[in-house]
Amino acid sequence: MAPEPRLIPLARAHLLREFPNLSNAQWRITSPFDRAYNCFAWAAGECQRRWEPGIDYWPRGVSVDLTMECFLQAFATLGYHPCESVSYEIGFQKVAIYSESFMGEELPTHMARQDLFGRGWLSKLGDLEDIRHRNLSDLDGDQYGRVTKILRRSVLKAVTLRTKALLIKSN
Amino acid sequence: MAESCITWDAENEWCPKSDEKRWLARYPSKAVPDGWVERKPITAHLDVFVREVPPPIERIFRDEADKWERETVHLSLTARKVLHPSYQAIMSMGPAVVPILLDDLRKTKRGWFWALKHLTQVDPVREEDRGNVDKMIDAWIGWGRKEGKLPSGS
Repeated sequence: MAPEPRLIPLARAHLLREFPNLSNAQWRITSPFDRAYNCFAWAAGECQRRWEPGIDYWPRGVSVDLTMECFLQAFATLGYHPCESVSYEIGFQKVAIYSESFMGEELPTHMARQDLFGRGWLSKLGDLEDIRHRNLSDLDGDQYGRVTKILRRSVLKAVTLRTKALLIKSN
Repeated sequence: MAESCITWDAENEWCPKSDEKRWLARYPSKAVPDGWVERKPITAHLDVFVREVPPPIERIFRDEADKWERETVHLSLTARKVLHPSYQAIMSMGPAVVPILLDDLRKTKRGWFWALKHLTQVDPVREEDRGNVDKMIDAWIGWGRKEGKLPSGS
């Protein structure tokens, strides 16, 4: 049977088991269980398809390796560029890349998107629910590693790209 | 005895004294047939015989698939999920598991795309449908029907 939405207390208990840092954090579930999209798609602002190099959708012209460079290139197509600060900046949208070290390379494992009004971060947890969590460190640990890259784009750039995409689609 | 590859089930468990007619119908000589062994009875007045049978591939698949999902459903990266021992165990069943994967894919939408691609050496998903789970499933189910891996009416 296709998965059905879980009761929130059950979902919370499960997520607390997998992500122990959440036990001392402010967080809440913001969507039901859904396999239709994943964290990379959600960071890119999509919930109709999954993003992942080599398996799912991946921007055209970007290499399909599982490397940090490949993820940076993919998000550059959406106007994102690396920055230093995780803090909220008016007029900018930010995403964070979690990674873990694998044979000397940083392997991206998860992505989170900053709330447009700076009220924390939005994460899709695998096939499970979306959550809004206050700090990026709330998901640090064995499952996702830790945040090693922050990217940002201007909201103006986001609107321009979105309008352009809609125009191309309508033609 | 490796528990993971041996199973007991009701079909293969007999209590001759409590079900003597059935037992005698099948084994008139009353002798214990080859492949049957005596098991310590739960109650003293019963003789219980059991037969070792390998579990059907569907049951192994279901156990491994449920374990895989339980332990990786929160992970984001498919490339990490497929390295789980249960996913690898399913892959090691070879092409025989393809119909089961297709059936499970249709029912649960679990991520068997990677396994299917590697076991069949084909990828029926169109480039523009990549990432769209429903369209990817449709492509695989269509392929399965065309190749006779799924009953055409199912």
